[in-house]
Parts: sequence; C-alpha cells; structure tokens
Amino acid sequence: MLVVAGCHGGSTTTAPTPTPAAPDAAALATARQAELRLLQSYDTAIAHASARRRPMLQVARALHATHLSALGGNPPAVTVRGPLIHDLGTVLAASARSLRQLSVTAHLGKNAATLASVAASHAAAGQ
Amino acid sequence: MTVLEALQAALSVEQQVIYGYGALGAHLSGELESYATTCLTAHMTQRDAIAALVTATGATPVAAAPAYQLPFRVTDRSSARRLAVRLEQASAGASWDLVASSDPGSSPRRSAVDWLTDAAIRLEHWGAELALPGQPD
Repeated sequence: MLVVAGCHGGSTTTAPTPTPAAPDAAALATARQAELRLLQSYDTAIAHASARRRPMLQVARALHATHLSALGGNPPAVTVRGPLIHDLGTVLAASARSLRQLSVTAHLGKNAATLASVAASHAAAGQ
Repeated sequence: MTVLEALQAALSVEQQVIYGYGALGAHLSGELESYATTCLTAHMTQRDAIAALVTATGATPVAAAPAYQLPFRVTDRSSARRLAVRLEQASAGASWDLVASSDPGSSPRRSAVDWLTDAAIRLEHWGAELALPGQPD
C-alpha cells in the first residue's frame, strides 16, 4: 500500500558499550550553546533588518527556538544580542557539520536523531 | 526497532518514494521537472545503499512491490509538489528511525545522518521548511 504515511517505529538504541550516567550530556550542551548563539545572531539581524526582511528572519528565529527546546533548552523570548553576522548561511552550514558529527557519536538513539534533525534543518536553511 | 528492521523499513520507503517520483514527474515541467529527476536519481542511489547495508547484515533486502497506491491523486503541478513533500517527509522519517536505531559511529548511523540532511534540503527546495525534519508526530 502507500508509503508515505510516515511510519515511525518507536526506536530505541542498543549501545554496544556502557554509557555514562548522563549520556550525550556534553553533546547536547554543545548543541544548545550553538542554538543560543544563533538566536542571538538572529535577534541582532532582526534589529538591523528592513521591515521587508524582518518577518523572514523571525520565522527562521522561531525554527532555532524550536531546536533549542528539542535539545532540552528553554528558548528566551529575547536574547542578549550577539555580533551582527552578515553571512548566516555560512554559520548555519558550519553548525550543520558540527551537529552531524555529534549525532554520529551520540549514545542514545533519541539524542542522535534529534541532533541529526537539527543538523538537517541547519543544512537546509544554510543553502 | 532493531537496526535491521529500520534498514528494511527505510528500504521499503525508498522503493515507494521512487515510485512516487516516477508518478509526479509527468506533471512538472522545466526546472521543477529537472529537479524531480535529480531527486529520483538520489533516491535510487539511497535505495541501493540501504540494500547493501541490509545485505551486509546477512539478511535479504525486502523486494519492491510492482506498484503502490499514492496517498492522493496527482493531477497537476500543485499536487505533484505536495506529493514530493510527502515523499521527502517519509524519507526523512525513515532516516530518523535509522539514526535512532543504529549504533554510534556505525555505517548505518553515518549514512542515515546524511540522508536526513539530504531529505531536509529537498524538502526546502519543494517549499517545506521544517524545524525538525523526520521527527515523529
């Protein structure tokens, strides 16, 4: 029958080696820090953007707030602004590479999948 | 879900995605038709790579069906684009499951992470930007 119903199997991971008490804590913390920096960059960009460009940036900011939540963080309504980054695409592409590597080595399947998904979103947005 | 189950599920999804792209291509033209062909080729490569991973475990890859029922009728450019989004969402979902089911550092994990990114990029191209591509509902 049909595909495309998006069949998920309720995945679990079978790690081959003992995992620490809080597996992937460092990886998730690294990913959260990266998302927070991106939020700061977007807040700065939004503050400097033209009225025409601002809604697009706000949509992108909302994506990163969702990422931060998925990674176990609490997205702030407004961040302390970071430096104005003129090439967010390059920043996103670099972040995607870093997150992919964190996903590959993550112990728990759920964490690995979340990191991979955030990486995928960054890669797509950085195109 | 074991990694073999996730691989077989992903293979089945890719077989259906390939069928779906075959069906939607006829309703597109120009750049979109060309992009659909690029997507089709990428999914065929992905299907073959998944089948190789299944074979490497000693199992037999699931066979494709002769035909599949599409989730809705594709009659024009708009419905073709909607189907493309649906197909890529399915592919992303299967990759999510494979990432979650595979061991750290393993070949299936590495490949699935890349495939999830590929699907997200194609989704963006088809007009669907998702915060967490592949995430179960």
